[in-house]
Amino acid sequence: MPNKPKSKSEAKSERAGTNSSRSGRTVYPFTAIVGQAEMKLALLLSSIDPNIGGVIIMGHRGTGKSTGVRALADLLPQIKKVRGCAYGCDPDRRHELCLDCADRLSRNDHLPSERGAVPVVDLPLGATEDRVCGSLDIERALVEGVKAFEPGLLARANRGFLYIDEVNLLEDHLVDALLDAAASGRNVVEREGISVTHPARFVLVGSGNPEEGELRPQLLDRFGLYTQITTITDIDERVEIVQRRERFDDDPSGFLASQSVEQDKLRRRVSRARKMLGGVEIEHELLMLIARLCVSLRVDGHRGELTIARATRALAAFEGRNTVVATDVEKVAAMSLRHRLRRDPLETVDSGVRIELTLAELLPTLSQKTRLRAVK
Amino acid sequence: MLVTRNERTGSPFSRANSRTPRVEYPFAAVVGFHTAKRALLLIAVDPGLRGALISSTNASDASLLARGFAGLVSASSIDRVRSGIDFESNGVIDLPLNITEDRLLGELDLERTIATGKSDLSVGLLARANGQVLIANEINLLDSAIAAHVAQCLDSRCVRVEREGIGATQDADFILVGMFNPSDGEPDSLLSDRVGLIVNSTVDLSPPDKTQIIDRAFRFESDPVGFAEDFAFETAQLKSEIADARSRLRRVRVSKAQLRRISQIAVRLGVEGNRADLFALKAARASAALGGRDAVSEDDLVAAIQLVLVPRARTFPMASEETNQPADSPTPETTEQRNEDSDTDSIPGSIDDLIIQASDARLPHDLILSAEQANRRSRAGKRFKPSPSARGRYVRSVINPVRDARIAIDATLRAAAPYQLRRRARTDLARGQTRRVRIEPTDLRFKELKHRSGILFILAVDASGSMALNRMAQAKGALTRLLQQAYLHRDKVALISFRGAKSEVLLAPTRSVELARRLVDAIPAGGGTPIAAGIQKAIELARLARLRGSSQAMLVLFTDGRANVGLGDRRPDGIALAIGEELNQLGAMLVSERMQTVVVDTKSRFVSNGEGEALARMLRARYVYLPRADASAVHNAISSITRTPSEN
Repeated sequence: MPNKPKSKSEAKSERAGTNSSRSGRTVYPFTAIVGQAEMKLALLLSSIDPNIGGVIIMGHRGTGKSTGVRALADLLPQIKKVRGCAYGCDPDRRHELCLDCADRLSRNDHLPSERGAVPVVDLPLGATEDRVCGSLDIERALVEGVKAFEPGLLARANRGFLYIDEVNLLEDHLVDALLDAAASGRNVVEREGISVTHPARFVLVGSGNPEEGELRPQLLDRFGLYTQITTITDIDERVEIVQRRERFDDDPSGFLASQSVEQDKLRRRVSRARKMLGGVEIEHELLMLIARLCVSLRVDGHRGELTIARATRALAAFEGRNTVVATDVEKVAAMSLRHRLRRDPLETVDSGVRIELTLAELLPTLSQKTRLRAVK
Repeated sequence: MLVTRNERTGSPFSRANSRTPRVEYPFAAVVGFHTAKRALLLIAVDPGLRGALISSTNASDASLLARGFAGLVSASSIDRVRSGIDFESNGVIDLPLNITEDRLLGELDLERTIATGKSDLSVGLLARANGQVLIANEINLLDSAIAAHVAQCLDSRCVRVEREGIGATQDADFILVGMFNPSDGEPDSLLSDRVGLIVNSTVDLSPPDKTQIIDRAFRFESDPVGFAEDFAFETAQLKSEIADARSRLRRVRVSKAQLRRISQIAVRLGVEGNRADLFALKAARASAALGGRDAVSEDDLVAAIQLVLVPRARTFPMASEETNQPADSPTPETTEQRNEDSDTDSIPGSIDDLIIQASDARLPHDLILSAEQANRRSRAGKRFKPSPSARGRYVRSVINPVRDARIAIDATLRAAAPYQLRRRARTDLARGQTRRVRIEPTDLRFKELKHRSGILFILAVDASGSMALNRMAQAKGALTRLLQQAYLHRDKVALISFRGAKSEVLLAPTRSVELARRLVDAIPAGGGTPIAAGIQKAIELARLARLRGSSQAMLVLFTDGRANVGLGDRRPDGIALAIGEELNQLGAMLVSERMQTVVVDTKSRFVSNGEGEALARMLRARYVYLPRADASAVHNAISSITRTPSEN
């Protein structure tokens, strides 16, 4: 609307082309987000280990849910992609290549690669299925008479993040398509005479306000971590939020510059954690603790155990350790299990509290050695 | 709703030359609306406030004001050059209530796609509103899907479209001015959260004001240009005030103490989220700038708090206006209503309010479980049904059209595409035409629109003194079970309680079972039994819900059956008869509104003398007796009703 005059430094940042979303707007930096520690941790963990299975952030309006997700994009280290591939295949993982890349490889024995950003794809409300899953390319069909596949958002999100704001307002048929792809890591398109299967490995990130409506249990279960976010009531923090936001709105790139040291530090930390992740060990005794926790909470299936185990390893890597300790379990248990407890929407006790209490009961069963390590 | 010229002119190519400038009623000529005017001026100074919602019982004048406002800001501030589109629309775009998602976001442009072979998006209303004022009358009746898109634009200042074979991002940076009549319900919270100012302009005008309004309306009608010229001076003055304030805005200082005040008050009022603090700060600054000050004053702060924070106070509906709850106790647990309405004291048997914990002790657990399981097997999930109307979401394309179906252009083109070469070879070679797309009737695909048509359960709870003793706890137990079922179906729930002499809506229709549950736990009890008032409220709610697109409403009435307070004045004699007549009439109304009704009788058998059954007969309702009304009984009663032929 009636625009504020663009500041000088803003114009500069557009030229530099960093830290901007596709629409050219500067994104609020992750490290400048006040409070909301659980949300930030969950997002960082799932960017360290995409196999954790995504994050859902539920909470009040205007608490920085989408700010957090959008800010994440700028923290992610660049990845190696096959040049010219619509799905951004990883040239080093030959068993995960799309059909085009596999074909190219069989002919050339080498795939040209380039470095690029991890995609963070927004799924807008009102998107139609053909755009999400991909469909017949109308233009080429009309003009050239060729039946070509036009990749959709799932293709673009491959190896990256797919973000759905107001996830509880999403249409059911889209939810189904997303769940299929998220579960199998592939997108199968059979429509309009097109038959295509392509890789679609992405981290699903959703956010919403529980008061707009509840989520289907099937969808909830798909998300690795569930974080709850509430209105900050600490006056100092609130003032800090307003002041930072004002500074950012007035001079986005000046604000970015003031955060750049912190941002770089965090970016390096995430990058290092991603490399360390493979070497992080988790002791049998802690695995037993995790299993016992899920049993006492009567969590169905074993997605709960797996998520905690993965999240603790990512957390250990983030903190530069190569072994998981008991406090790691304490930090991630609530966000890993909150949405997997037996669904009783009328339950009054907060699920997170229940999980923490149960875990507190189980902790003393650990051996002296393991407990001591946790303290350290 | 009027179709605006923008809607009618269709393609963006034809728009520029098909319009004559129209004179809007000048902002300065609108009588009254002082607060709303002030709010709009603040937005003119700082468009970062994003817009205003104006509640007014006088819709047409509020709308005049909004249009006048657009005239005020469009010339002085809207940067048409930057937006690259010349609209010549006086800076106003109307958001019609019946707009479809396609028109809002843009859809595949048939004409151009066929002419050029390149798929192209027609400009949707949101993108057209870029750089302008988007006006929505009766914004509270806007379809929630549409409201979500508008809210999204307010957030991101652009509209992202991934539809019908096209992905595009277009600028959609506008000021939203929404009007609503508070008696028809509140605007969607998605919208009220993203708009800075919320104004209550429901003030009765004095007779001299009214005559002035009529006088000005006549003058404007007969000579709009002359009328606008009469106010040219005021308009020019306002414009220059706005321009001055805008240039001052960035210099206006605000102290840390003032920032703390804003946040403190926001916390005290239980304002949700942190957006409001920023809006309040912007409003205070704009107010100072408009007053020619370089620092925010106490008055500016108060104005900001009134326009931004107070309307967002999360006082629960239970804290009714009369009780005037202190603002720092927003949770239902603490808003126990202490002072009885004076008229309930005269009801015999009135006792103190009791807050009774919901208890399902009397409902065997396994019964509930089995009901749940049966439920999951049969009909869990949202109730969707294809709607033959033009509303709803474009879900997919179909070959066989339903009534009034619109053509799904993307799907039609896809269906036609593979045959183009062959068809062209057949018909065009001789004439040398190659680019035309050949579409044959067999290619046609139609849009299947789906409208979320969950049932609205209106739970009306008798909270009178006679219910208070122990049956309230049972009723609450059964209610929570019902809510659980509503949750499984993702239906909507509304909650009404009636006691004393009146009925109140505790919870407007919502999908949030969590909210409903909290409220059920805290229903205060005590006073008379005004069943008729409760039913009347329920009918009102159902009518409103229908305006918003809910197709089916159902009333579940929890009561011990003895109505002792009527709608009209209470008379010492003949009460029962009058009340009986009222209930009979209401029963007929329920039938004509096609509202299914279930009476859940909470009276114990020993004292019952068939009042519950009598009530059910009067209301043409199904009767369920509570001690047996565990989840399965209530569920059966309800599901037998909700399984209507239209759903199959």
